[in-house]
Amino acid sequence: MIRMENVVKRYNELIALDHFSFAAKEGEIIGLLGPNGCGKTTAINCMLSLLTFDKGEIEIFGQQVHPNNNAVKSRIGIVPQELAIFDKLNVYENIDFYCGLYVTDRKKRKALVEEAIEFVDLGKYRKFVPKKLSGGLKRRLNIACGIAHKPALLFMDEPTVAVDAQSRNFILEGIRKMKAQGTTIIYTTHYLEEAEQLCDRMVIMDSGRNIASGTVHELQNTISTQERIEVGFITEDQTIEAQLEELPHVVKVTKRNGNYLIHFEKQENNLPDLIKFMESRGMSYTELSSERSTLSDIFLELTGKELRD
Amino acid sequence: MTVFKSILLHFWKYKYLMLIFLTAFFIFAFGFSQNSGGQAYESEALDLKVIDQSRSEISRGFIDYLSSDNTVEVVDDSTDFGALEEEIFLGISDGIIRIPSNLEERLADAAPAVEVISDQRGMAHLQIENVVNRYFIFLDAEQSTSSEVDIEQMNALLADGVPVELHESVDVASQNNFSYMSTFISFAGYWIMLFLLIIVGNVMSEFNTTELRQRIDVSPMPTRTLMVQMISAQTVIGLFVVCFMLYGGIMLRAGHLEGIPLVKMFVALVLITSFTLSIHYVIGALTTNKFIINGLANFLAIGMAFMSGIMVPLEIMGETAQNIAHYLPLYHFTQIYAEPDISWTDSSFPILIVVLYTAAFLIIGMILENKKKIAS
Ligand SMILES: Nc1ncnc2c1ncn2[C@@H]1O[C@H](COP(=O)(O)OP(=O)(O)O)[C@@H](O)[C@H]1O
Ligand SMILES: [Mg+2]
Repeated sequence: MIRMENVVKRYNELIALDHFSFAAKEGEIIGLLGPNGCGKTTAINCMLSLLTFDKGEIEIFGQQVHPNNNAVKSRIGIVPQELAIFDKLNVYENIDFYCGLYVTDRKKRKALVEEAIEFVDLGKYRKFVPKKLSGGLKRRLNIACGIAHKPALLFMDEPTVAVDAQSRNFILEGIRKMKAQGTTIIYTTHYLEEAEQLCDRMVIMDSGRNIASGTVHELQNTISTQERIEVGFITEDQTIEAQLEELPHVVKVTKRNGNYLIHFEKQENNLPDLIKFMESRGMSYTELSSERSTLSDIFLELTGKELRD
Repeated sequence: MTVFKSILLHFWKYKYLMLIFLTAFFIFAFGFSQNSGGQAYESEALDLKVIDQSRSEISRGFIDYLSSDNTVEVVDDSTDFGALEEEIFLGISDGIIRIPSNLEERLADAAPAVEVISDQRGMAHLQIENVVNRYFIFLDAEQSTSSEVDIEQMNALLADGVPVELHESVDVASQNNFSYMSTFISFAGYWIMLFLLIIVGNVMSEFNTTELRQRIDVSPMPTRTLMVQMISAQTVIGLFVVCFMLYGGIMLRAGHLEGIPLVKMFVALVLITSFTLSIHYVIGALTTNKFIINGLANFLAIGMAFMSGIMVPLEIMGETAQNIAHYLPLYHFTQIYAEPDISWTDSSFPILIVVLYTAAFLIIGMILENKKKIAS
């Protein structure tokens, strides 16, 4: 559905997209994931042909993107990162305006606008101007404006930034519903858990490059420190750390909240091996927990940078 | 909702501001209509300053004639002309009459005999012209019948109230009508500029913010359709304001509309509206900051109105100011209806100038818009 190949976008000196490639299939939710300034919005704006790019190729619905390709544009929806709503128009009028850019039939539009209002649950606020809405509600309005015309392909650029927990869950739920209706969604975020919960596949971006992509599971398999086990011991002993490092497949041992965190190479039997090992050495432990690496670890592993929420 | 409708809806949200603007205008306009003395104008003694460079028999006779009903002060040739003009501006004197040294030649050539400087917006201006014309028409008549003119005798005749048929253009009643209406329209032109720059500026700045424009750009609406809808919405508002003001003026002066080139005034107002919208287009391409837009609107409208003779008569401003005025569209706007019986041929030049100004601004606006697009 979308194919983006080796796209280079420069802002003067700065290279915002550095041979960026990615593809999306119909019906997927694809997460574009990366820290602020890594080029997510730039990538979206190139796909929407809001920006010209220096090199590469972008195809949507099998057609080259072009500012005048209205057939393609009419099937796309966008929820931009910056709120794009009219301060002077109320909720209903705002949605009606944006829907009107796509749907000229009045009756049909009225039904679509109503549906969108219901979808974001702003029915109570239909006569409110944005000034009177909270941040979360404004975001929901911004979403309603982007989806009212029922696009086949939807771009959502950080739709949950600065949104309260309740609205955020509501929004995520809505996105799942849209996927269920068959919408393909390109979703950018710098919140990892969100991407983990929501996306079928992810593209991890850093400095304008696609540094890894795939499902969460695939991503977890691409890196070495796959498993971590946290152990707490009854007695504090200087030699524990050294002893643990003797175990096979251990990469390193660190301390966390008074417990030891053992980083293992990916391998089937790390946990049973550890238990056997501790029993053989007569080390009595109070708690033991295994955790799989999170996206945050993956990101750290791939870029050497901490991805902060 | 279409873009067209949404823009009108935006204007509707500014309805109170619009109401205040229009009300304020009519309060001012009503004030004028009271000041201009209504229908019956009674001539009064004028305070005149005369500069006599001719020092001929005719000029002395002319001064005697003027002195019979008015307070006339013959000032020295070397007197500071600027100071005299200032007196008119301050209302201390009603006018300056300069009698050139070649008065007799001018009379023979049927050129304007003397130069009259006064506040064109006041009734005194009409009276001075009237009085001056009377004298020279009479003099001309005398000269054409008998080669020798006895100035003293002629003055005596004039003082006795010899009826003199005046040229149509100085028919006081219709001059009065015209004078009021042209002031009204000039003021309306200024007000429309200010009003549209502020209201349209505020409304369109919402549509011109980057986020909203990008959002509209990704939609399948063709740029041309968008532009057409934006322009037609602004045109509707502009026409509404023009009609409202012109109709208001007609209502205020119902029954005193004789000798007023209403159609040309309408054309002038429509043109100044298009011109204003084209300025706004340039401003809109430069900034979406409402504070700057409002500031620029005030600066441009007041500045141009001042420099174009709408606020202060050009005659009493310096030569530099007058020269500048000729380069300003608002000046040409006033020239479209400069005379009560102005012909379309005479109006066509100022019309052309205003149209060219509008076109020039539109082109500048388009260039700026394109630059903005390429910059991304
Ligand atoms: N209009 C612009 N001019 C210059 N640099 C820009 C512009 N827009 C974005 N950038 C730069 O490009 C990089 C990518 O920005 P962006 O795509 O907005 O990142 P993200 O959406 O991932 O936070 C950033 O370093 C940003 O500073
Ligand atoms: Mg962004």
